[in-house]
Amino acid sequence: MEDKSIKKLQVIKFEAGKGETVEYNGNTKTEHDTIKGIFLRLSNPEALQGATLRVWIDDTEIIPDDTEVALLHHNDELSMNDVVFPVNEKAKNSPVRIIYKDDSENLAVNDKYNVRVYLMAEQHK
Amino acid sequence: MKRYFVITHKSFNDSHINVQDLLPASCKLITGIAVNATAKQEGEIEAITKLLPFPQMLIANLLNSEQITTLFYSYLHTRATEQASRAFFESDILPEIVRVLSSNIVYTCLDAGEQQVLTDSIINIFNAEFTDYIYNESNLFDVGQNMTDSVFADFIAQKTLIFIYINKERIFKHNVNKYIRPEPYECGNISLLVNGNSFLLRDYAVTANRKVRNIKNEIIPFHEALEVNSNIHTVFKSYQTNSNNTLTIRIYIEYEYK
Repeated sequence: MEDKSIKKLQVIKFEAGKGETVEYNGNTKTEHDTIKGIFLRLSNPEALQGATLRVWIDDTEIIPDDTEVALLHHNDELSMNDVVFPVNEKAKNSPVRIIYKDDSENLAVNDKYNVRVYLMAEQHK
Repeated sequence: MKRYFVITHKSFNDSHINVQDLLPASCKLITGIAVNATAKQEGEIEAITKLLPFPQMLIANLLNSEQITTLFYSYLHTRATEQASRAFFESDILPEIVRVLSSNIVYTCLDAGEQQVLTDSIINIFNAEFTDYIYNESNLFDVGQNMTDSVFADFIAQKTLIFIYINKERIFKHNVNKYIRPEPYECGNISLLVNGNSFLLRDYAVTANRKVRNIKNEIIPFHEALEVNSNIHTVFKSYQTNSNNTLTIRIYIEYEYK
């Protein structure tokens, strides 16, 4: 069967610093129907080691507490589809909650850096 | 639908681990498992010099600007002797090239101080070496004898581009701090048991601080889903004796969620 849905991305951006815990609360876009996947990029990949996160979409915990960000991190050598963490949750303005913990004590990352969480969404025709 | 559950254990001062954990109620069918370990170590900083991308198109466009191309007519009057030609080049053409290049080559990734260093190095290198280069190596005086205005402008632009390219490693660079990643090392072996005596993993060697891949590649899949009751037993034997590291071991359990 031909896949008629349109693929879309939603980007959630926040700032994190050394040893910080950042909580993000927001919503998925109303025009998106389902969230099919999730992946991240850090503006400073050196902060990757030790960073963990926990994600809820539509009040379902899809990424459990203490999951290492490195497992979901996209780098330039990978295509988006290879890195995406598959999920299947309702979008349509459902709540998104992300708890991001930086734990980069073992790396001297002193500057603040940006965390971008990409939600791959589908929109049905 | 696959779901994941994470169990985290810490080994302080190379201690062994022998613990039982409860699995979540929905975790009945395990389909795969992954283990990752990280050791906390103080990272070191190393100052390195990184090259900036070479702005070839920008330079080519700048050299096409009118201020530079119209200088040809003044240059015409000085073509009689090399001395006059060189003097005019140094007093009129060179400052114009330096001015256009130094004020327009701006990198947004540099802060004001670093940008100033780059601008200064353009000015210094051009003032010190460009006249010699274009008269001695490119022979502007002889080659320029029969040139028309557009050929002359092209020639100057090309030689400027070549000169700046030859010196790109002296100009387009900036200093950055690079963080040295802790070296990976084999830290111990781990065994995971469920249902009393079934091994999920047995004496599996764990490497700390290795580079982890995406979760889909990290998970070791099972041939068939394994039905489990509520407990998982973790046994970790440390290979190290006096590393003083705090080792964090994370066990990712992939299970079927209905």
